[in-house]
Amino acid sequence: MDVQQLKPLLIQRLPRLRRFARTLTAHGADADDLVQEACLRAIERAAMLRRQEQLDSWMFSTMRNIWIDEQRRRTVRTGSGLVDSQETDELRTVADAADALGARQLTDQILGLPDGLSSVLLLVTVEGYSYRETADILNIPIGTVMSRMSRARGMIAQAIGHDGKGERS
Amino acid sequence: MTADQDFDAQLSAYLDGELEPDAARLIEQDPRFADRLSAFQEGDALVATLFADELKEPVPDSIVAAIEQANRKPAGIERQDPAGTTNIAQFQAQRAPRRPSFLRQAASFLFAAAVGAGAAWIWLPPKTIETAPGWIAQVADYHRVYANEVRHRVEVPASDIDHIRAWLGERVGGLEVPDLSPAGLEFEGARLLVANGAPVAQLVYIDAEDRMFALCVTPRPGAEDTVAQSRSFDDLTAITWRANGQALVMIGPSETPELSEAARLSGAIDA
Repeated sequence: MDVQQLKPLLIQRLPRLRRFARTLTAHGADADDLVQEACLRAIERAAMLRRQEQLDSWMFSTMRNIWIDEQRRRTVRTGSGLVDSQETDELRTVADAADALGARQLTDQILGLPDGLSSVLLLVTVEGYSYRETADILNIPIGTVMSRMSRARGMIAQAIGHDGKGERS
Repeated sequence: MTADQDFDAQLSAYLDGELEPDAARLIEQDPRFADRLSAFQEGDALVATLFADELKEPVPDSIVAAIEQANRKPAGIERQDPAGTTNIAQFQAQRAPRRPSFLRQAASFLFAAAVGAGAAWIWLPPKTIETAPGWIAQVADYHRVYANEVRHRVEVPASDIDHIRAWLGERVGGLEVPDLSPAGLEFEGARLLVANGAPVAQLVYIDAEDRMFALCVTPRPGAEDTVAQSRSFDDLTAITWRANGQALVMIGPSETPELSEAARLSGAIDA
């Protein structure tokens, strides 16, 4: 793909790229750094991008890879890094998700889900990727996509007032 | 994994159209099915809204400037740098010391401004980027992707049409699967797409030459009915209309006579 053809496509996608980045980093400033680095990498490697349809998944995958590398560097530097999603207990219950404050709290909680839960949620429910495609983008087994989806949905159901059996609690 | 967790995993996969038909039928008979499905759907709708809101935030100018300036030769320098070296150095210089966020943003803005103006000071007003292309443009993008798929063109095959009606009908507020055989199109199956955070049911048809056509339906509660309009997306043509609180599009390869006939058979009214 020609670089000058690629640039407007990237700029057009920035809102969606930032949204995905925030599911990885949970912090806006880190997300913006990540998006920028991924865009510059795409421009460097524009020749490798054969088809426009592949751009979204290529960008998501690139951001994921850059972020994993960055996490590893931070682990070496500070001794803190990835937190296993299995260690996450639950989301705080939101009184009213229709209320602006409640919605913001829930959004922050969802974006803050560690190690891939919110990325999987975004790619499947909002970006519309299949489990197979999501597994390829995030370089994880398809079974992990399935378990993360159900885990994320269970946590969200609980946060908006459903107990584990589908009843309002 | 507990029995409840296993049930949730199966139900979640069902909701995403990822269960085999036999497993789907089995889970539909579970006494927990209706309540838990409703809870998950409520959560999904909320997630779609929250994530859609994330697109409304303005994009920092510094990122746009970095993209626009990337791989450009600075004025007055004849020698071409190896591809990308300037950009990586720029990025690393910007991100290396993890300063507090506002300082970092100010630094990146100033840097981008300096690059953009050839080291002159300029002021760029905050710019809001177009959040997302319209849903039909997104449907067209999806169409190009799946038209090239052979084995995985649809999520649920035509043989499971009852499940398609129930599953996708639930997502988009009712769904009919029109018989387009008079236009020479055979129903192949369906998949769920998402455009601008809203569900889109994509019913996939193929013609005798294995070219893909699709009827896509997304909810538009309260929207007035409209007559058909045609829009061109390079190699694809989309015939769009609204009816019964839904927006519909019949999309397929441009310059194929089957397309308008298929739209009529799907309920489109000629302008």
